[in-house]
Amino acid sequence: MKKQLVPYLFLLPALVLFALFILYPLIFNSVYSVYTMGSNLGDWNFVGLANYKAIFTDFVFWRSLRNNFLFLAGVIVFGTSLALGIAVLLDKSFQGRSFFRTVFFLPYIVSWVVMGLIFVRIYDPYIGFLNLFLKYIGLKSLARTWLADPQTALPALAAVFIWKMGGLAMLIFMGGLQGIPTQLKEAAEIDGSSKTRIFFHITLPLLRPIIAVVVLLLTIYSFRIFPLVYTTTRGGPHYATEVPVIYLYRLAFQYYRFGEACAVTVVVVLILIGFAALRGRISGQIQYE
Amino acid sequence: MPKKGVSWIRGGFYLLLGTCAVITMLPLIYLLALSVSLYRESFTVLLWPHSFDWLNYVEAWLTARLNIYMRNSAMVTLLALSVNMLVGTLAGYAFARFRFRFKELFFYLFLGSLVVPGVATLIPLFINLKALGLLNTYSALVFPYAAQALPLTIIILRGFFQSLPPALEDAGRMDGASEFRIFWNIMLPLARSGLIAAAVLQFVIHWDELVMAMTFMTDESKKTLPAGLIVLQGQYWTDYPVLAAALITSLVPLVIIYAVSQKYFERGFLVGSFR
Repeated sequence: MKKQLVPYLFLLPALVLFALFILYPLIFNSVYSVYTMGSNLGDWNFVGLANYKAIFTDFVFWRSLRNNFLFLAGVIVFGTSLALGIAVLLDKSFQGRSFFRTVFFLPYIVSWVVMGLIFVRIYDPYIGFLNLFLKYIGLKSLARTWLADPQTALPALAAVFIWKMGGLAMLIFMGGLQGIPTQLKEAAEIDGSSKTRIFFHITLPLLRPIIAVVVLLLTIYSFRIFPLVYTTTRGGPHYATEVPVIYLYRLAFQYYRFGEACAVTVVVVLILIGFAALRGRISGQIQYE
Repeated sequence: MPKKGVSWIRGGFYLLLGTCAVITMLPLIYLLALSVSLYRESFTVLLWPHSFDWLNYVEAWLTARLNIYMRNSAMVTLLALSVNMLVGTLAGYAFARFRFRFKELFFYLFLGSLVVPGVATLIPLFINLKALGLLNTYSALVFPYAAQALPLTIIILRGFFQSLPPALEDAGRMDGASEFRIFWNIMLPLARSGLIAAAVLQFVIHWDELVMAMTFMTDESKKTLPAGLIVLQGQYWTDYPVLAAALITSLVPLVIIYAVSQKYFERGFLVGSFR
């Protein structure tokens, strides 16, 4: 009898910690989302779906979702291709390979807060690196008020995201590339295929599960860009960089509309679970091919 | 790739990689240059300071109270690491080595929480911690951090334990050792790479966490590094070189940890996680 309990004893501390600090708060979140709570935290009132109605009629909410998805799309397209490109370049052994690998991975270690604070300065229109550099090489006309211009603000942040996450994606792709059997590629070469054809018709399809992992990773991380946005634009200009987590934070800790903030959280979590489930479906299909 | 007569390609290859590498390093080089610049000269700095002023670092450390923020971050991170590693390793071992009912269910529960962002638990935790009077204490951050990193530790350690041969356990069992002793004395020491990988990954995550740190610790003397840097951003808005010095200093622990664990990092990371 005791023997059967042992696994559960091993698992128990983890379950308790998890339940107390992840599970219960998540459940409470859903509960709170149907109440209103103001700055006087003890004061709850049941309001049914009113919070949800409030956020669904708030254009900032929809704008924040749209921004996050645009951000995500840009990051996936550019980040993945860049990381994959570099991974391919670093695939074969050569002099200095680990040096380059370290260099490209370095930005990943830099914390989001630090990165945000660096790029606030880099993007500064008057004394920042980017515009100074453009002036220096004679491309002054390309200079912008990067973070203050609604059109460039989001892409500017996306560039920072790619800078940081690219290294991680590259590392994952490198691992995936090494998993591709060289015999396949050599056989195709002997048959006379060019390197590009080999890449697109053999390597790439075999990399699909890895690409899926990277995309999922980027998706999960793209919803966690709070430090990045908070240190740079805080959602401005004119909500051009407003994302759900910023919106949530502002509702809760600036306007003290906790109930609505919880509603936003519930929606975001559901979206993320949806993504993960979708990915599970897709990779399941690949398995059968 | 390098063959006779194609040195052009080889040169171009290195040029391309080199350019990308330089671009990648630019922001950090710029930061470094700014951190040793004199304030009044810092407005036209590109990549090299006009003169060297090391006082920025002194000011960041003392006047800007970086030492306090670092100390808080170190405490919170190490405590969270300890709790998490202890709890998570036990669980990872259970998933790898035992058969029990609901095993799949529990595992997917942990796995699923990876998708959930930290902010999802922010508000309820804030409300409950405030009610319990635990705001502005280390516990407010240590336990949520430890819990959040649990899936990570469990996945990595499970993968690692699964790769160890079962013969070792069986030998232990035949000698009459209890399951816990088998775990503690035999299996755990063998999983060193996995432990280090999980610890390093976590360290980076905890060291960097902003939202909870900002929300739960309003008392300045209790703030961790990320929250403290936000405060500095406000205070040193115009005197960027000092802020730059603070930023560089805050990167040092991370770089050290990463460099030291280089050997263990890649092996454990790739073996344990992505199926």
